[in-house]
Amino acid sequence: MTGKRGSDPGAPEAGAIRLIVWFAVVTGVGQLLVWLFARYVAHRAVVLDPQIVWSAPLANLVVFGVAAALLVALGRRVPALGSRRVLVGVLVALSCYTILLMVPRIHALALLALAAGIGLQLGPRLAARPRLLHRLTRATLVPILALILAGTALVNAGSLLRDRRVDGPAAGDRPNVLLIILDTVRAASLGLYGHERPTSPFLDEFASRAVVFDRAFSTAPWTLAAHGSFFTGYYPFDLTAGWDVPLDDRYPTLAEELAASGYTTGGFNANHIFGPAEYGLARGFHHYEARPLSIGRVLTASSVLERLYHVYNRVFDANLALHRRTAGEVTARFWRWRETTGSGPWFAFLNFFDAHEPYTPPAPYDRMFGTPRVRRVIFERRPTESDFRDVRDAYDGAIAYMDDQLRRLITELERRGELDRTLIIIASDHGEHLGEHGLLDHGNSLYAPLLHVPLVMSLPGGVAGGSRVSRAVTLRDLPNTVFDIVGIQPRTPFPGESLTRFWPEPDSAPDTLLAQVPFAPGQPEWYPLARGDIRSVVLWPLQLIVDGSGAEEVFHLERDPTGLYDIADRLPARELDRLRAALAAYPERARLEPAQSPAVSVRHHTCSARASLPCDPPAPVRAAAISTTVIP
Amino acid sequence: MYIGPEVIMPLASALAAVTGVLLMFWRRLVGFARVTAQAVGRTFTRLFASR
Repeated sequence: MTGKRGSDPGAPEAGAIRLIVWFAVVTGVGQLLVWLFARYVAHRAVVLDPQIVWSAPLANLVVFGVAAALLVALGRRVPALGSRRVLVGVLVALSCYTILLMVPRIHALALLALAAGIGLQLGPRLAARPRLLHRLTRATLVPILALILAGTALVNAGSLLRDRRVDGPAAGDRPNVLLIILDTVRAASLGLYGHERPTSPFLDEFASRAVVFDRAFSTAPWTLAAHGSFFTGYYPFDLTAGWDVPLDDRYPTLAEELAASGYTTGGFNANHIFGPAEYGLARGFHHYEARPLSIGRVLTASSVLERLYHVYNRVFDANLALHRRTAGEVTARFWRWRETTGSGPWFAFLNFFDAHEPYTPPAPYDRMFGTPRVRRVIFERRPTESDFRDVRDAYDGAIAYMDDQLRRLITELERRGELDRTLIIIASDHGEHLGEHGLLDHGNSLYAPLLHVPLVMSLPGGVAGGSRVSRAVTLRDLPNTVFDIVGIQPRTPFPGESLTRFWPEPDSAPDTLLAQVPFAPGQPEWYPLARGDIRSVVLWPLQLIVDGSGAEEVFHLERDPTGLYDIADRLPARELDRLRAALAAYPERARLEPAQSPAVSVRHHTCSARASLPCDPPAPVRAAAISTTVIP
Repeated sequence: MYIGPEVIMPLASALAAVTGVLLMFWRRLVGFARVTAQAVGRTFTRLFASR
């Protein structure tokens, strides 16, 4: 690695630089192959986006280059470290470590030991054959770089072409549909649902021209299952969406059906965890954005830098968020898209992610309710009362920020004269624990703070404005409701029922509200989910929750809205049996693995077990008909 | 008996770590094993020779 006589003794040779570049790009290709295997052979929703075709080699080049530079610097003091043997050994070890880190759930230090061992064994052997290395790198580097360039062009072709095509017949003068999901926002933290803090002044006011559902319940306490449910109208147990399994294309989504009916569709999802197209939520959108392209995103395409990023946040207790997009940025992207959609009706889905931990809204909202210091570590140990206070303050500030962004969005819609031509639905996918049952976060229980979500619906022309629906409703009825309101066809392709049945006839029969969260390994032992899958049924006002150990809890949600006081022991046996019978209709599925949820069994459960679901075969999936432009 | 990822993954981590350490110190371990084997062999040889 050291220079020839007369040159700088620590400077790398041209051959060494080629070697570094070669290892970086080959490792990038290796990452891509692992990703393709995980995605298409093992059917895992690996959170690696198609842009790793070019970003992984680039990020690897940064890592490998820095490592080589360090060796050069050290080689000036300790000549042995500047040898080619050491350079090749380090490159082999880094290459192995980068790829091994893609294997989930194996300890990073164990993988580091394995990579170091391979580097120590292979490095000297390869360095001892300089001619072979020279020929190999020279012959393959240019073809590999050409392949990477071709791959980059391929994955970005859709974005460059900017597909503005509309798939169905023109939708005429049908109303626009704007679905805004306030990710992780629980109903109880909004003013219009009784929160004592002024977190939602705009929404409180907007409610006067909208229909407010006082008791809307999500079907799942986490993003992918909840979105999958209100995109398709099916309960999570009828869908494939699992912690590491994407939503499949078995059932049509709201976006697909609206696109097929002539709508131009756009999705702007700030949830960088489950929002990316790899998780299946982009289906049906002509244009979809879920993860902004940033330096942080490019660098973390290297598994090593991605791991270091997490280690940094943990060791320094920092809230460095590389992938986040604020509600303001999401809204700006939406308006940019609107400039391209023409005059026909459109369907836009916006996900605001600011209320998700680590709750870091911009100033002045970050200190609006105190000076919270939300530390990441509180999600890894039993939180204290002081942690709960900090989280509540930061969370409320984040909601206030989103409320202000909502105000700007709706005001602009009104200024453009589109408010009265648009069905606006503002809801949340799930809530958040802020200390109830000693819990923070979400996805870990089915208690009311995670399932009771806001639902505000502003109909075109302000129809039914100011109504409040007190019946308990489920978010899975959203796609059916949208089709009913925009009046596309007499029979909607979605299961469930239209929520319009709750006004102006307040005595409509209440629904049976189901929810589920599947077990996920590695849960803290104080999480209810650590005991296995959890299932819940609400027959208003009673909620029955059954956890993985079979333990039952019952809450009276009218008297105890946050579900703190278990009344299972005091409940009359007849009432408990009624709740158990409702839950018994639940499909028995221990895990949501694709192999365990074949379409046949879903059809069986759908038709025989729950009268609330239609017995017709599902409408044909139209995924292939819609060309999605996924913006990196 | 249920054997899921929560059982397999710690075992896989341990196996990866042990393999890594073996690879890192392979020469020393082989050398140590050789020296130990030779020492044991010599001891046995002396023992049997004295009988």
